[in-house]
Amino acid sequence: MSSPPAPAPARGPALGRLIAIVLRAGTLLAVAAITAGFVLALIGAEPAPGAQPVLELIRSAGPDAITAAGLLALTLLPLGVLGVAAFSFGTGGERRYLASSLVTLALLAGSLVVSALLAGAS
Amino acid sequence: MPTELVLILSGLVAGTFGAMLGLGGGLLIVPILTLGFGLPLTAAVGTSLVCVIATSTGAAAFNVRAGRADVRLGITLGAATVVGAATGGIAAGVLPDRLIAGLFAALLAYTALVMLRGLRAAGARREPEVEVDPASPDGPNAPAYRARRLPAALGGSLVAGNVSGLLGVGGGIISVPLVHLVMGAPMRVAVATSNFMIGITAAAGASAYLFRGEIDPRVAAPVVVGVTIGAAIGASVAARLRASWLTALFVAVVAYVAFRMALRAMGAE
Repeated sequence: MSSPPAPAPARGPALGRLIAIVLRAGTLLAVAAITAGFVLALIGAEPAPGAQPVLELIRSAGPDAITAAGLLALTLLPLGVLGVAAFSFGTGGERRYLASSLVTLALLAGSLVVSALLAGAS
Repeated sequence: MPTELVLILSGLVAGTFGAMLGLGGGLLIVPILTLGFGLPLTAAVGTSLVCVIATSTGAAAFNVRAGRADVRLGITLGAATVVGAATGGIAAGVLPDRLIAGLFAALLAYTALVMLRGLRAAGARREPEVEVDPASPDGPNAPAYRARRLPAALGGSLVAGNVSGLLGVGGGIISVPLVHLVMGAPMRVAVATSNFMIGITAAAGASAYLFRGEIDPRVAAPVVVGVTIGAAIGASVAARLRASWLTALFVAVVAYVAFRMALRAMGAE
């Protein structure tokens, strides 16, 4: 009597684990940068820069640049999540969801580029 | 009290309330920053969206790992919410402040009504247990169900994204009923999946405000810190609290804030 076939390797848990790692690490790093920049600005009694385009803030260097980098990193984090999901679907052979994640990734990346271009043009 | 400390506390309160009620902090952050701190509405909306990303990604890490969120569905609907949020965020740059305030007041009034109806219906029906399929590719905790009416859900997601990008909220007030009632996902899955989607959606909206230079880092930083801590507190105490009195209080607060925002929309404030 032959033994039952071994179950196919579960791909999903790897997807969940990978996405969770990216989400947790990304959130921690971004919030840490935001907090560090904010605390350093308070300690150094730096003059408040006010609302400025995020890339200008980052170029300005100093504590507020660290905060701005953290804010931008937080905003870009979902791109990383979608990239990891696409990779996982691709290696797992889930073509339909690979296409879904690539479309969403392209739309999100496109919206970031359009926002940056529109802001630069205005 | 220093302004920075008040901002942290405001974020803390918004994050705690939002996590306890599953709404995210945006519904409270925007009114707090505009009515309490006198920030322009677009600056408050942009700051709120960054906070929404922080709370969403923080909670989604747990939900995705535990298999409560349907990542595949979230990513599929995310395509529509991203388009909606990006257009909402861009439109906010050209729409008059008073129109946005009016739309926000309408959203708050709608939220208060939905929560009031939920409060009345509480106890009348029990949420069915999530069916568990150990063979599911997402692991033993992943729910087994078949999502339906994808085209309708994509249309609704476009609206949810637009509301998010324009008004600085997560959009969960639209996407949770959409995933639960329209697509047939169990409620817990709908909440977790919506939470996962919200981060992707808010990123598309927030980028418009960040690149336009409408987010002040000295305002956003303390609020993000407060909201992140508050969301962790809210999530940990939510399971131990009887939610009905909290929901009633929240409905009262939301109704009051809707009234104040409506006054602002009419130019009376």
